Amino acid sequence: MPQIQIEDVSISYGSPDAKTTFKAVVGANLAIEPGEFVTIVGPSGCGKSTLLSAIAGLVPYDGRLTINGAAVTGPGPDRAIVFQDASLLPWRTVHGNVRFGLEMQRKPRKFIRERAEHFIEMVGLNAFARYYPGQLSGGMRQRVNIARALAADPQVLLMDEPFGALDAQTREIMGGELLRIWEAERKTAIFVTHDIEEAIFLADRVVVMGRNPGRIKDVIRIDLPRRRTVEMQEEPAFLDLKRRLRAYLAEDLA
Amino acid sequence: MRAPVRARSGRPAAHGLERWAGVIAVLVFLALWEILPRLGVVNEFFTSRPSLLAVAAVEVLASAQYWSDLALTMQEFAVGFGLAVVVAIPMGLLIGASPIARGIAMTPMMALYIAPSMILLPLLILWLGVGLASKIAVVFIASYFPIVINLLAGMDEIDGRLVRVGHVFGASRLQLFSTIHLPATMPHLLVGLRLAVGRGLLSVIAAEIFVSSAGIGYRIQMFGNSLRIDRLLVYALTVSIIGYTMSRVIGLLEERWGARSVS
Repeated sequence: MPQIQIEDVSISYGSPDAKTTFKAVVGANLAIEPGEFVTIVGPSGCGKSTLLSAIAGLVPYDGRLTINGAAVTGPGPDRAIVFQDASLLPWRTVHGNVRFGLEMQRKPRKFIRERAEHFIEMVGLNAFARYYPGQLSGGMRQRVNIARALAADPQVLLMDEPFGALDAQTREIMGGELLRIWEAERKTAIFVTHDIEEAIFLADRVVVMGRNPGRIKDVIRIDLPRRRTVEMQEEPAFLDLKRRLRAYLAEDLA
Repeated sequence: MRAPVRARSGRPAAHGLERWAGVIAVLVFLALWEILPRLGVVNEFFTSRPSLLAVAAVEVLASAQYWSDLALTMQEFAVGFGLAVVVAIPMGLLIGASPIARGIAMTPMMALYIAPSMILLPLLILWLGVGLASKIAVVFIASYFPIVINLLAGMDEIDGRLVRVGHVFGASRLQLFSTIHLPATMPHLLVGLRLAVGRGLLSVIAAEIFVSSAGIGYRIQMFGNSLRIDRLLVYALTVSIIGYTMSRVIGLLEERWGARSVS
């Protein structure tokens, strides 16, 4: 049975000044299996982040959206989110940020400390545990963000363009790191991006979204072997997928 | 991995002359203050002199009365200020959390903030008598509003993305206040506390000057009436040293907090 089921989900925003509503997502259907890595790709304005927010329980929706059979009514400990940026608490150290979710769950002190240390080590920031976010580079901050989400021990990891603000090279390194961590943890992962290569490289399946109105156009299975390597991006199979996805996305921009 | 850039709000090392300019100015002032009355340019009777002040300070500091005055005034201040902090922080966070409550509360709060708390003193004395309670109440009112007003301003500017982080990780209402709202508004809160210290101290001294039978304010009033300018100044100096020390402590907290949340 799929872990996440999205059936005929629509999401509208009411504008505060007028009575019109803006339809961000219309009639989305998607089923995600436990342990699957799904990326959502599409042009800006296609509602990909909005759909992720709905799964996170941060925006209301119409239709059916369930996780392990239970309808999503708000945020919960079964999900954790990695935002694009500016979501680390600037007054807390790396360690303080990573332990945040566990503190909210009122776990025992010793457990919190050990688990935070474990995930700080996993993202390779041991030496920086006592640093504040303002003292870190963008890539390091996103490592902290990932560690914070994983430390809270969610079943589903939601990522909203987590590497969107990073330079291309750091982004590529972070993608590889993320896969390494995901392979160790095997959480269900949903990753929103506007980068086609990133979407293919990470995913078991790529969800392609279009805009006007925001909707799911297709879901493409990525049959490239795990584990993925940077060299794989030069292979014909990868390039074919890339061509196909680009053509899809180009339809919308015309 | 790249070494992180340490963000420091370092001010350049003060030039020798700049650093000593303040000290030199004070020394010049003290010298003039000592010399001009001796030369008869000004009347010593009204101004005293630093050397007389030093003698008076030794006498005053040796007296039990000085210390009991100081203890009384500090007690009035500490209780009033402490109560203000304890009440104002939850109030500020609670009102600040709701934009509607913020809108309703802001105008009356501002009105009470701007009005000097001393204007309520006659009323407070009527209600609470001339003793400790009315002084505590005056300090409370004087300190409460700067804290609440600044906290409300802080809540108004809070980054919604940080509040969202709290929600996402399942923070309860109380956890949200203590782990997101309070630290996020800390710079505003510290400004409020600094203002509150100044206003609270002013109020307790002024209240003692008007109505009381002991305390630093009372003694300042008394020495003024008996033209003991030297002793009056020792007491006045005490007040400014206390005020300066407290606002300096809060200033250091502000610096420390600022240094860690550079982003």
